Amino acid sequence: MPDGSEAGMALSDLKTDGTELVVLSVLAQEPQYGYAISKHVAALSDGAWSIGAGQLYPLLSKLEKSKLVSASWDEVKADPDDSGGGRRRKWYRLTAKGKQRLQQRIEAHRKATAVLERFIGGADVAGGAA
Amino acid sequence: MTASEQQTKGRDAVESSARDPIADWLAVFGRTLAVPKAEAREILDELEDHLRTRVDDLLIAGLSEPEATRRAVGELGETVALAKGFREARTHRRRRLLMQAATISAAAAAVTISVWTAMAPGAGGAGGVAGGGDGAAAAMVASGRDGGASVVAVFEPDDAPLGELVIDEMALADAFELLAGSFDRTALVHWNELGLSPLGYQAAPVTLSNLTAEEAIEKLMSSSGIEWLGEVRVRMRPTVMEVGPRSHFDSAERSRREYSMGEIDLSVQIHDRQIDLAHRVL
Repeated sequence: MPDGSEAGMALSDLKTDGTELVVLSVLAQEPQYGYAISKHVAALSDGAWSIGAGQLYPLLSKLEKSKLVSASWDEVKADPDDSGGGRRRKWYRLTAKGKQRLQQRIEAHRKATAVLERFIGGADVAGGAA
Repeated sequence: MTASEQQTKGRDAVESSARDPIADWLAVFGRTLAVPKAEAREILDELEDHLRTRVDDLLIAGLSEPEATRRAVGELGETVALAKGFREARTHRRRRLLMQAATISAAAAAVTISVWTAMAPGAGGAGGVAGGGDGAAAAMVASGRDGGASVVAVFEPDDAPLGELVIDEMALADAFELLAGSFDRTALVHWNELGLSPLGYQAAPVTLSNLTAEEAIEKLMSSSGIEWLGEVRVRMRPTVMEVGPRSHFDSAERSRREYSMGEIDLSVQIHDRQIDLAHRVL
């Protein structure tokens, strides 16, 4: 009998994969910075899917190290008229390797969804076993 | 310092400062990060941009500045967990490759066999001690049933001296873990053999800079008033920073056997539950 850790790991992997799929999909549309990614995800899912900063930034770091995304910096000025120095902003863009990974993830997701659909499509929830 | 104490400290920094609470929070977070300095700078710059942009949004939504700052910082979660997330992201690729190698190895031989290969003649040394430096790349090799071997992953050496690590007052065990994290490893400390208790000692605040791992540990212990009559040794293994007395490593060294196979020197060393194979091409 499994002690539950196996199931826990599978669930965790599913969430991680889902988040990675979402982030890669957002970056496939256009380069973004971290905060904009989290806002985009929340807006597109009507708030149903939120990626906390504590999850997003380590994930972006991991994707960058795996060369699935590349990063560049620009400067943000708090006040456009201010000639003083602003803060730095890190932008992410999908690499060719990232696009390939995204394609693989999308295909895997569609296959998994199609298999699930075979089960739930024929389920008679209302009738059921009485 | 416990995770909750660390978090409280971060929150206090936000609440007590009349100057720039975000800068204060970043300073506190930076001390828990334990990654190389240049990388820490990038992480802190990115989080600063996140926090200030988030605060701007919350101000537009009608929150007061102190409330917006508290909310933005709170959304980042516990500083210790956040720092751990960044450290794990750094080591993710290395760990994944190790897991692949370990899985293949276990299936093939029921033991994990790791091989550190000195790629250049005379570089590093053939011993089962990872971290020889000198440009030696480390390779993970899984054995086959027939005794053959195939390389499944190659790692870059990563044993440069510590940049700078600021240790706050915390349990000595936590300080060792932070130090190991700055070398991309977790800490394996032979407490009993050192005659120390993982919970019995507190590290005093100290800044460790430009030191090897051994020197950093010596300084950490001496600045904390911990007297240990002997020589602390550190062995960098692919994912673990192993700390113990010299006698521990001397006895491990005795288990090493060396063989010569034509143009290859082979070294076999048995650890607790792992066999290290190392080979050097002459």
